[in-house]
Amino acid sequence: MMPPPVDDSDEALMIRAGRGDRLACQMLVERHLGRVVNVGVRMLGNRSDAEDAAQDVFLRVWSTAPRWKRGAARFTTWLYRVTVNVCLDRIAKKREAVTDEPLKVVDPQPEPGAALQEAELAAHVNAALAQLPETQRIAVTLCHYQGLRNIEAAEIMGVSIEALESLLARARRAMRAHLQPLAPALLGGS
Amino acid sequence: MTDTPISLERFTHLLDAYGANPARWPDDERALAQHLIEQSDIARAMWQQAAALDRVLDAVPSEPASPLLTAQVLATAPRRRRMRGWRVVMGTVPLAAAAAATLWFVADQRSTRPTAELTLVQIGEYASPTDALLATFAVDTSVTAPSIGCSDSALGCPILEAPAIDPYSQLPRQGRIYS
Repeated sequence: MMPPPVDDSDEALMIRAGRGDRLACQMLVERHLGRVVNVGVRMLGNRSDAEDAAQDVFLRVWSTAPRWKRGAARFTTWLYRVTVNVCLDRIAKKREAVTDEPLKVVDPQPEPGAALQEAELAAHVNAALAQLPETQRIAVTLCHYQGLRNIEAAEIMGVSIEALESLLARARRAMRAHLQPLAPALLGGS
Repeated sequence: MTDTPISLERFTHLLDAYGANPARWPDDERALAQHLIEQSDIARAMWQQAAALDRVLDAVPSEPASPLLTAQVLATAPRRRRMRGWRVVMGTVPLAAAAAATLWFVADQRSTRPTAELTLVQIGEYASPTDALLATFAVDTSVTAPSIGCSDSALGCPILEAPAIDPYSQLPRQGRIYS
């Protein structure tokens, strides 16, 4: 006789994690830690801060797990919302601590005529992303980099679909404008 | 060019917002937008430009979480509560003591029961000075002594037909009534 199928959905794992089930905790971490870190990298501009933020996010996951109610929310939607909020808190704290400067990411200056290396191009893209206003950065991160559907991204951000599309369009136009002079060959010139 | 189900303006907005990957477009507009790309050279050129921007944006790799970070995060995960050695002692010693006391009490009750019965028999056979005095007036104390539930005793006895008392009732408690 076949054993009954084990419910390994995120929501079921959260309930098990709340009871101290180590395997459930491990599965949640394996599934979602990478995504959380990647959102953090896009939002905060560097991996070190992103990893600190990821630890904060999972502390919230663990503290919420004992009170998690099945059906109240989709786990990934909730997790992304927590991640975005943790990152926004860190950005705000950094601003308070230093000055009212925008997020700084090193934007390497390419040698004239030199073909952009992959790592260099990535640095330029990160710099373009960092120059976006936070809401646009969140929208691009969730939709383009995390591949979320527009409905879920809008829900996470607490905006309408129309507002999300507007944020995305402005973000992509701004990034194209930033990257066009650096990678005209890749972007087809203007 | 024939009328298109999706306007070029809306198509441009779709590309601006979601890029060139049809999987990211809204479900209800995907087929219409793809049809427009097939039909319109302008739409196709715009789509190719959007695809070029997508390729540049995707130059930023998504890296997996490091093993060190994974271990750090797992170290903060909740654990099942386990009683440590001294907690086990602190928790079990009072329980064991309570169990021993209960056993002792039960055993003690059992051992004293025959003695109590014997005492009652002896009291019943014991003739006090009062019994001897009353006997001179032909009063048999074994018959007339009040006993629980006898309402016709010569010495009187409590009336036990009082209404039952509910210990959990919120009504005011009534005292027993004696004759």
